[in-house]
Amino acid sequence: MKKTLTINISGLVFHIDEDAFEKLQGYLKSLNNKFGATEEGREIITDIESRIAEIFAEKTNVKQGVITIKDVEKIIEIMGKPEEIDASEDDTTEQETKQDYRRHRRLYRDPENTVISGVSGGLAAYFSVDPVLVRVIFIILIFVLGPVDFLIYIILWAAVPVARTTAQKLEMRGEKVTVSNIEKSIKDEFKNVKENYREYKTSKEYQNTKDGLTRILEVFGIIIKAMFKIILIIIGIAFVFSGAIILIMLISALFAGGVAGIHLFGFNNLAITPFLNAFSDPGIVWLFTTALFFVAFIPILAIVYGGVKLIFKFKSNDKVIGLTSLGLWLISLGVIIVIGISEASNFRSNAKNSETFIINYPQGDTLYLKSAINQFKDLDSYDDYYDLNNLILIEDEDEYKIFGKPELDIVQSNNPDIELIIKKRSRGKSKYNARQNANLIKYHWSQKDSLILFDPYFTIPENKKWRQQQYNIILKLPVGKTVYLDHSLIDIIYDIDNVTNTYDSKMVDKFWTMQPDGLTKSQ
Amino acid sequence: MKLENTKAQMRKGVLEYCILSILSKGDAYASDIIKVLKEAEIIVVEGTMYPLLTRLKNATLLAYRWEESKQGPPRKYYELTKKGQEFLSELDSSWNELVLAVKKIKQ
Repeated sequence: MKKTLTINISGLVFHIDEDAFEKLQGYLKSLNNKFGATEEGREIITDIESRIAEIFAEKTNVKQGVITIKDVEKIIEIMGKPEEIDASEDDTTEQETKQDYRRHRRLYRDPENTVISGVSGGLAAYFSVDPVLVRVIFIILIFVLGPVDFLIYIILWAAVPVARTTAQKLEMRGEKVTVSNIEKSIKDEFKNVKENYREYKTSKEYQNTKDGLTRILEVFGIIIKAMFKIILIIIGIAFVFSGAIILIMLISALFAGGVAGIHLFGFNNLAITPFLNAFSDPGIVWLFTTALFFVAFIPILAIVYGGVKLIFKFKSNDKVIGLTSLGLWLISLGVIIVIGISEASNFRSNAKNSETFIINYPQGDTLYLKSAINQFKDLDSYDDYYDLNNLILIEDEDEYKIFGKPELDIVQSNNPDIELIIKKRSRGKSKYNARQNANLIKYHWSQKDSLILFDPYFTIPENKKWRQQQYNIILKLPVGKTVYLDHSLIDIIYDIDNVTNTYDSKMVDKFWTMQPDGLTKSQ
Repeated sequence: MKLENTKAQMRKGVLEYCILSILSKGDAYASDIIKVLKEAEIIVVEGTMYPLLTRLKNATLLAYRWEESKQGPPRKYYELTKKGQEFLSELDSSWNELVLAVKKIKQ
């Protein structure tokens, strides 16, 4: 079944198939583009139309009087395509028509080449490549961009119109977008300069201007204008390249789990996603990174798009594209702010738990303090390792583990006992929540005769998030007792007061005795 | 120098001459003219002729009148104006000169 329309061509009525109608309309439109600008041109078109009507009338009898697409194709063959009809006196017609096509190249969806909506077909026509290639790229991008890929597709679907008429289909294909056309763009500008100059030289203005300086300035004006356009094209190329590079970096930093050699925001070999997973649930992290991606991605895409437009000067539905991306950008920004605020609220309260342990008196008066560092695999050796302000995040077989560094201090005891005070701190949504988080800190230390072993790290149970947990160990040492600080403690000891104001890192490998006025180095 | 361009240039000049010649034999409407030109294989696509007719008319070498038709809408009948006749006789003599000249050169 086919839909049929009734049309009137120069006074005669015809029934015509819908596709045939579209083709005919496109043909007449393309003729109109060529001739329609002048009174003379309109007359030509009227003549051609009445001839078409005549031919149709000859071919269709009353009984099966429907014009099919074949009839229209035949008509076009008989009458000739616009570029085959030479109308003007000079021989530049052909060139101009070609240029017009290039200028008018537009992105359409291709209704003759669809799997889903014709987006790929249209893109393929636009870039003069095989549609299969575009589809394959879309499919590959699913793995790189994830859901963003679908979103891009849907935006294109919504923003790009279908090529309905023949004229639109011609526009859709246009002239190839190639490097040689970039070159042509630049050459066109030079040609324009020459023409402008020639025109200007023969114009009355020029003849009337006796002043040489004014002439020179005018010529300069023409040259500068052209230079400006060429610079725009070069900027366009630069935009496209830099934009593309930033895009690749962004995508890999956000989603692909980090790419060696890319140091973005100071993160070394670590993607943002696992880092954020230390703070929040995967779902929220996903939402956050996606929003973050859009906030960064849309302006870059706009730059790339602007660049492409500067180079190829094509027409497009800028309003729809612009508003869609602006909307998406604002929504993404909103998502980031909302998540940011709600995540910040997880740090609103803080709580502290203290415990005090009595250390058995060692034989002799010396305690040996050591780190149980040998029991831990060296964290630096993991592939993904991140260390910032006591937070250490490592990836071990696809699981991310959060480690924290405890802090060890030694102070004077005001009673004869050696005491070890543990202070666990954390933040949370509420006081209660913060205290819970603090209690979940896992840490181990042990005493064996005169040796006290400290774990080099505390850990947080899996699925628990980083809430600025802190673990403070305070050794209260009575006057007259001595401690030996093993070298392994170098990362744990924190700002231990002593009479000689020795730095923490210089305190290791030495014996320290608690004197009435503070910790003193023993010989 | 493109062959196509040269051919088109040659044909364009001759085409005007041909149209005027056809009309010198009697008034005709567009389809009649096309028929003759097509039989003589001097035009490929019909579309070429309409701009020419319009231009010749605007140069007042041709004029047209509307005539009712049995089969459809009224038709444009073209006729040679006085100016057109003079123009044609000029073209006739220059054509003969041209043919002679080319013949001479070719020998």
